[in-house]
Amino acid sequence: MVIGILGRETWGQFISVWRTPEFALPTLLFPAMFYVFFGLLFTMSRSMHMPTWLLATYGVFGIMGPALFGFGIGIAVEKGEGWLRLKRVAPVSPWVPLFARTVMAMLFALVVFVILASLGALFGDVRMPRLDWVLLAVTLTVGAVPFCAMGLAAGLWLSPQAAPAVMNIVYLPLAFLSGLWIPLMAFPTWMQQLAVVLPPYHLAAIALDVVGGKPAESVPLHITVLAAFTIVFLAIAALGWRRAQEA
Amino acid sequence: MNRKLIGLLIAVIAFVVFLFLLPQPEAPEPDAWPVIDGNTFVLRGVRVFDGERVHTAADVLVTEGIVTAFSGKVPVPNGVPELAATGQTLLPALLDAHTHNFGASREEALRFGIGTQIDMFTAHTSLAAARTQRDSVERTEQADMWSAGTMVTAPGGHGTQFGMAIPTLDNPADSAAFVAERIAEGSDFIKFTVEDGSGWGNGLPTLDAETLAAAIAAAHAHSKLAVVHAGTAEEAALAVEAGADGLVHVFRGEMSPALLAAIVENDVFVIPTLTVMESLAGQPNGLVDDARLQPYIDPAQEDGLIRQFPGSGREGILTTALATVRALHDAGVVLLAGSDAPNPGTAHGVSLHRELELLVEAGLSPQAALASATSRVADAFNLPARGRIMKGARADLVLVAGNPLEDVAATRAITAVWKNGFRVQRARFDGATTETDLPKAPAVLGVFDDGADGWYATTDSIMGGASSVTLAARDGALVIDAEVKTGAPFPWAGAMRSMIDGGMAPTDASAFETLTIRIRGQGTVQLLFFSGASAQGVPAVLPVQLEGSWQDLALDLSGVAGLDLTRLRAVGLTAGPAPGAMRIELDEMVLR
Repeated sequence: MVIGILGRETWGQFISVWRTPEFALPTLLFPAMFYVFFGLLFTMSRSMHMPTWLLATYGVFGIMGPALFGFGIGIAVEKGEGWLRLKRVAPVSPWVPLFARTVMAMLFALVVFVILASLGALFGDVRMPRLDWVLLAVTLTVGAVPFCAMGLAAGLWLSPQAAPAVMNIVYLPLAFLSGLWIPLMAFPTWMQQLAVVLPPYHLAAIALDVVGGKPAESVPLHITVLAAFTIVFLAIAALGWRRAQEA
Repeated sequence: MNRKLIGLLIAVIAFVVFLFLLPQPEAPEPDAWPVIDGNTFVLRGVRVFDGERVHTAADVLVTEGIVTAFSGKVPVPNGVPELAATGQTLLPALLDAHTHNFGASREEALRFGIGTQIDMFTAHTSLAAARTQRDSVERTEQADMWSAGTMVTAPGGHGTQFGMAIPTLDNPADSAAFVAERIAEGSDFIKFTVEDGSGWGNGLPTLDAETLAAAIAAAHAHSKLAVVHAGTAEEAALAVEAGADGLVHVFRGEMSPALLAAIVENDVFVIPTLTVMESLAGQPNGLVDDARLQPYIDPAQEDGLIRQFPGSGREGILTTALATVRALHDAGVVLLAGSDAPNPGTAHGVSLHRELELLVEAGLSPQAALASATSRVADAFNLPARGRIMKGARADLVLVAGNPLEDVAATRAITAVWKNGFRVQRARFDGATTETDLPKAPAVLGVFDDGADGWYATTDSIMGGASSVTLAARDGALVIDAEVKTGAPFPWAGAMRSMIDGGMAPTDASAFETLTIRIRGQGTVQLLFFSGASAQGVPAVLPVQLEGSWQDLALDLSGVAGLDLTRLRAVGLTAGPAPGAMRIELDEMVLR
């Protein structure tokens, strides 16, 4: 029964987002376009295999979009339209739509992976052992969760008018400063150190370890940091939820 | 509803198919390797035993002798040679935890993939040079060595019978000073002997419990490990009681539960040296008949492998030893692979491969046996950056065909050995030449217009002589001021030049026929050529008569007895052996 509702809710979320071009197109096209430009067409460095390196980082960039926008803007808009109020009185747990939205973000992450992996394999000469391909897909899919939590927190706190602007302002600099567009080594040292406090940096570190771009000092540490970020964002979201109810 | 389920199923299957369609690294033929003269390269798609665990297919990047990346797929700077090694297994160069080193032993060990040896008793005069070598990442043909130096034994005890006069210890009061002397001599750890000689039927004096405990405490006060050769189970119990960190043999006789408990309780490691137990048992090891090893076994090694202990043949000894090792392993005791080469029935390098097999026979998994010859030794003796393949580790590596994690004897099928990232030229003794092409020897050995061109001083001081020499590059010539004094068995003083960067690595000089020299001096000088299978070999000597004025000489190399131009390592120019002062001026030396 619950699974049925969950399935329908997820499918509904996915279809509604898929049919919203102003959401689906940028989140799927931007990472692919950037990857083609910076990873495949202009190879900046001769000292490493850029298509492999950037497959990992643009993969992270790609999965951030659906998670942040799906939650951040989606929740804010639903809140504004009174949907949240409606769902609160509906005979279904409020967790169901949240979970469905998360699954939607992960499905989008898989689509991003399929697009980028195809581009890299066909045009970038990216070659990896099968296990590494699978691990990258898993990393990017599961890696969407912290950004879902981040989006959820933003969506519950922001007004529907402010949400799109704020998310866009956060999204692009966050990706850039975490070294997702250009490898961090190209940055000044202080910017490299700054990246350590940004969640995408840690997911990218894991993804780079998987593709062999740069062995991570400690993968468990990066996972712990991401888990900690998730918990913090969920706590902020819980406060936001309480505030929205009081309003 | 059903249709949706089918749709979901199709989507999942499509994704799995997609994953399978994603391209994997290709696997070119291993024998298509380029010849590399440096110590920077990447190995592709190789199965890696990292010292503890197995990685099915990884890339290992070595940069100037250090492992700098190790992962599924390493992006590599342009120009770095790529070596495909699909289907083969890369291991850290092995560590032999029990050897006795002299002569060509460390060269013999490296040839069989042993990168570091833990020596349990040798002349302490060799320790300083060993220390210098192990700190550098220069090209070398020798395994690195950590050593106990002089072992600590009682007057007339085990260790004094080898014809080398060594100091001995017979009371607790002297132990602190005695141990301090060993450390001053350069001992990396202290080895004690508790051996009544009952194994070979003669009562030997040995260290008593009180002296041993005091000396071990002294070693620990210097933060040095204390390891003990304990002959019998009773002696082992005594050693553990006295505070030993490790036992360097499995002991004779049955192990009591109390002894096992004490070993576990005190975290004592054990180096079983089963190969030497096998030899004591009078059983053949079969190593000289193994086609994977045989071509690389030199005559001295072969002699060692088939030699027998006088009065060997006590059959029970190996059976008991294997049972003890199994019990130790089951109890979680750290076991280290050691050969005790070059005792009768063993040889440096070769025997460690048999030790791995015997450890597996005793009940270790191949993986545990391989760890006991790599990471476990490095951990027990605190040797950083060795025994493991990881970022920052020294690139001492051995590549073998097949999978030693399934059949541990696969370590014998060595395809390549690297020391400090340099490919080791494994000398063969079956008449065939080495399997890889050597780098070409340089033609110009010196013009001295811009410094000494890599020439360095050499004197008999390394043999205890008193001769001296100074070198200076002046006015386009190398000025060698030699002062030869009596003292060494063969006095000399002069200058030398390695074919490659300061080491004794062989180069291919077979394209050359003549050596031309522009030189000035008065009297007889010796031209030395270091060449052939061993870096320790006696050089070929060509005496040259100088007449006091500048001379242009063209020397025919085909006539020089003992010179192997296919493996030329270094050339030297020395005064001696007659004593006296001599100035030699060398303007030019060229191979043609």
